[in-house]
Amino acid sequence: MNLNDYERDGIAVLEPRGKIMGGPDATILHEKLHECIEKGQKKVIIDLARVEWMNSTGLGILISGLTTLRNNGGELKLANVTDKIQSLLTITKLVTVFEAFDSVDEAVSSF
Amino acid sequence: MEALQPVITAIYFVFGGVLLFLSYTIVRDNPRHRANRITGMMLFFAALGPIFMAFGAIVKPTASAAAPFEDSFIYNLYYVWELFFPAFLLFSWVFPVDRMARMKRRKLRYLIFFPQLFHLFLVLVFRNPEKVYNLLEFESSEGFLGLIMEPLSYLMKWIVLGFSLLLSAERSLFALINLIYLGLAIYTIFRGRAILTDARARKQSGMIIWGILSAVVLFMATFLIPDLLSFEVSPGLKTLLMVLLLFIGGGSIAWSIIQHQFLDVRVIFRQSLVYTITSGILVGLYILVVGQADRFITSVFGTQTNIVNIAFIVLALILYQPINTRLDELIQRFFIRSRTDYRNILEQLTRRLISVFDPEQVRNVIERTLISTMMVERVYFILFDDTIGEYAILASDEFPTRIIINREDRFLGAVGQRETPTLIDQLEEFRQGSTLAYEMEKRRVRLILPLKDADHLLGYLGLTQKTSGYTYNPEDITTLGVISNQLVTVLTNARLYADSLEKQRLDEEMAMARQIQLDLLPKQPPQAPSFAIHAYSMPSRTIGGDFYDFIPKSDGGFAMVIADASGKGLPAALLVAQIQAMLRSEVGNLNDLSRILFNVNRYVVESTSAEKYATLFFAEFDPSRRLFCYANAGHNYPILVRSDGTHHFLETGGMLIGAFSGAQYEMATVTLQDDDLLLFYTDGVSEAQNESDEEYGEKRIVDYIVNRRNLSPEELIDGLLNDVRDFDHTDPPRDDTTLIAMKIRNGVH
Repeated sequence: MNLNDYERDGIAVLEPRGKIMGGPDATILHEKLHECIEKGQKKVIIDLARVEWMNSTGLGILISGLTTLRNNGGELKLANVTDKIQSLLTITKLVTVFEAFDSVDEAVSSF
Repeated sequence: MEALQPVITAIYFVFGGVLLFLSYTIVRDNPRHRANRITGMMLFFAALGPIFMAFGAIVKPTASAAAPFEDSFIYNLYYVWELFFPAFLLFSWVFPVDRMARMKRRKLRYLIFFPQLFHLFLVLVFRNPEKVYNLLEFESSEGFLGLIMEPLSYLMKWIVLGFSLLLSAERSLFALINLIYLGLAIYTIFRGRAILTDARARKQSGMIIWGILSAVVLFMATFLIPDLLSFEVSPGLKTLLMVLLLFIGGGSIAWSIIQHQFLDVRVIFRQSLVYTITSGILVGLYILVVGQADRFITSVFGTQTNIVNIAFIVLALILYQPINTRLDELIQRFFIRSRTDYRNILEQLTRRLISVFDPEQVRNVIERTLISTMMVERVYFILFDDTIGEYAILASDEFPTRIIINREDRFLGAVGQRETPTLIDQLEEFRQGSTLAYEMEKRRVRLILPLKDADHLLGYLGLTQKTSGYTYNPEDITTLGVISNQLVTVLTNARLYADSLEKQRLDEEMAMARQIQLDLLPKQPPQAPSFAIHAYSMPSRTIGGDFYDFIPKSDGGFAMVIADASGKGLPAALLVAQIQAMLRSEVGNLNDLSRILFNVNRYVVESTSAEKYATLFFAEFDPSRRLFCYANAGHNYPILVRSDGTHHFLETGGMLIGAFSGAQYEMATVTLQDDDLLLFYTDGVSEAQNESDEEYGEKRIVDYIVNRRNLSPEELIDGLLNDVRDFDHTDPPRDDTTLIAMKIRNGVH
């Protein structure tokens, strides 16, 4: 997994690419989220457009990211959720906690 | 006796030469050390003794009755040798313990040379007082000059007379003085040895002290005491004792240098010793053979000839190398165990390490070998740690904390550039702000030895100063360079061995963990005439994060669960074991599925981090009423296939377990009918992938079981597993795989 990040209208957008799996991916994403929180950047969007696949550990990373941000008074939203990840979110009922949007723009304007 | 004289002369020459050479070597190797300078001086004066004696023996026959040898300048110069006694007293102040450093007005110590210098002066000037008298006889001068010179001349004559009288008592008087010096020196040496606490320093000094003392005591017995008491020892015995004491004194010093690094003289010295002795032997032979042969030839042919001289030189040239080689072999045989010889260190290391594999023990052996062979005080290991990817100074007795060195450390970088052992002093410019430099200074490390093989840098050894107080000489550094290669191999092997042991231990632990996990699974699913169940579970690694369970209930029914924890391996296994235990305990207390899942979720949230969760399908079946109650906590939807081929997904429930506290779980109930089939599975089945990254997927599962819904649960699961394996050949499977099939039997209630 590679991770790009940029800012749009004061909101941090993280753009992982490839497969989100366990191990180093978790650390990278985790550190990036903590970096955001430390900078006072508590609104974060994860753009999943370029994520090919996500395993259970990858899903765990998203959950823990959401929890971390919420505990710090922030919010994590998802953008460009692919069908496959959407079905994963549906089965696990995570759709009820994650706000997912069709595009980054929509996600940005929802804050 | 006469015939032996040339032999004895030769022996004196050889020992004189050896002592001179020892003196030179000891000063040359460490001219900055007081102990070396003084020992060198002492040996120099000691060497003059036999050399002058040999010289005298050669010159004596050339003297005539008119000018007896005893009157010659050369004979009297022999007394220079006496300076050995004050030099020996000086030596006793620096060896085995240097006490001179603490003395005040150190320059005054050289006053102890005064008596012997005065003696030399007496002997040189006043041995023949007539000559001096003649010198003082002035032609009667006229006038003023004569007036002054005449009384002065008389005064001088009286003084000369006084000195001459003093000289007549010379032998006993100076023998007494020398005896006092020797006595003082012996006393001081023993005092010094008593102060020594270090066992190795005691051992090192033992040989030399006993050697020199024996020689000195022999000398006292042979020369000084007879001189003092004015009795004569027979010349034969005298010579014998002289040879013996030279052998003991010179030999003990040479031995101490080679075996115990006395005064830190290099081992290269051995080679030079060989050359010195060879030369000595040749000179001795020359004196022995040429003189005799010359006389023989002269007596036979009546003329003098050079032929013997020339023949000897030619022979010497031919024989020099073979004699050298033989001698070297002889000395090698004696001294091959020389401690500092790198061959010996390597041999010792190899022998000691042959049965040691534990890295810590290996490090111990290395440390002990270096301490015993190189006289190093302490050895510190700075080794690369794979697990953290950094260098670390390993803990030692004195410094029990392991210290990690940042890889950006300037000093570390500077040392890393070096291929050979490097003295810390040469790295002065890199010390600024370096943790490593600071820690090395704290440990008083003097030398850093890189442990490098062809392409790896394992780390470094930090060696403190030597117990002798000397710095590392070029020979030590060469030796360390050679053995460092051996150390690299030894350390690498030890680590590989430890890794394999560790892996073996982990494998055994995992095997036990697998057995525990297998034991946690039900041995047999519930069986009854009204239904049939078959279950299958296989972790992708030794242990996994899938599990299923059947919990019998008091009303004749049972609860069942299939679950999949996030992640794989040991962490996932621990999480499912915890969830299984909670479920079992909750099922005993509560009847309400929603309530049970609510509690379990809360516990898991509280006891694990957010990214650890499990998806879980929980149900209760009442066979008598065919009621199937369930709640799905984020798990893959189980499939219900009716006898007519229609299917439904069992979705109702709530959030996956362990991520968000307070999650609520909805419950649903279906009534099962004849020939209904239920399939529960984990994502190991649905997410199996073929070569083109296509997933097996829910739809294939549904199609497969709908078409084969008449098979028994066991046949169905075996068939489905085979179908999945045909689809995804990955071996072992990517993910833990669990399947449960349950079938309601036709017409049986």
